[in-house]
Amino acid sequence: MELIDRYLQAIRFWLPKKQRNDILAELSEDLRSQIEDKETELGRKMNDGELEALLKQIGDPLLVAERYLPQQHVVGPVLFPIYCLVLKMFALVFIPWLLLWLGYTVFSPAYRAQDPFHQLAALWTAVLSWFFFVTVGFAFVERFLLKSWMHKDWDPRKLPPIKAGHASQFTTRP
Amino acid sequence: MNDGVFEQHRLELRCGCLTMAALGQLRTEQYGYALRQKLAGLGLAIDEGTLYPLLRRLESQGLLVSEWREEDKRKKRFYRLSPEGRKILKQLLAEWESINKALNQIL
Repeated sequence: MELIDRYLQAIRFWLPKKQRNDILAELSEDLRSQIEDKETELGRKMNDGELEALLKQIGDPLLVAERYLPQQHVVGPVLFPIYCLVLKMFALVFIPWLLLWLGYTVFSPAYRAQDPFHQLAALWTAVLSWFFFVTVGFAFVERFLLKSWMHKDWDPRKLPPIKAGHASQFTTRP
Repeated sequence: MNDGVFEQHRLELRCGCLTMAALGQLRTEQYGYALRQKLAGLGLAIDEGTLYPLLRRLESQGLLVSEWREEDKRKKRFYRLSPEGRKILKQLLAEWESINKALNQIL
């Protein structure tokens, strides 16, 4: 039964602290009943192979534990499109910067002489820190503000006006 | 790929049904394993990894109450329907019946 203990221990690691013992007690009681019923049916003790097959069927410890956890996101599905949009906007700033650096490095010997990779490292640090701050910002909104925003009534009158040059596509019967 | 799509829809379809089945069977008090056996015997098998998280969620919503008690010298967690759960189950059954009636005509 050492295998079962190892299995339960692996599940335990991922469970929320407060409910850990309770969840495990219930799960191990279920396992015990399953094994006892199977052994009565077989008329003998279950062997290692059969125990392994049983655990395999119940599933990966992380997946078993995960079902007891509330759904969690750093940036959830509602915010994700906005998050992507903001990241793309930053990419639009950084990509020309990178091209500029590439151009100078390739075509200007004077620039090349003064350690261009120092500049590239600075650019890379800037990219990483923007990515970090944008993600932290969105994670903050997701965690603390999103619920209250979602409960707010939205106002159809505040929709943006039709873009210049776009014809109306929506008509009803005259 | 087709199997994956079917499996996903099957799980979605089962999800609400399992909630109703669990609530319905827990009008009389039972512990998890006995409930699983009962449901499996009636043709709705549900694995441990699905049932226990479900029971916990229903309890945290106030639809079930539970307590640890000893039976056959072993501690088991017994669940039963709360008055609130009884109310919700009744509403769910009405919803289920109207969906079923509509579907029978649609399909």
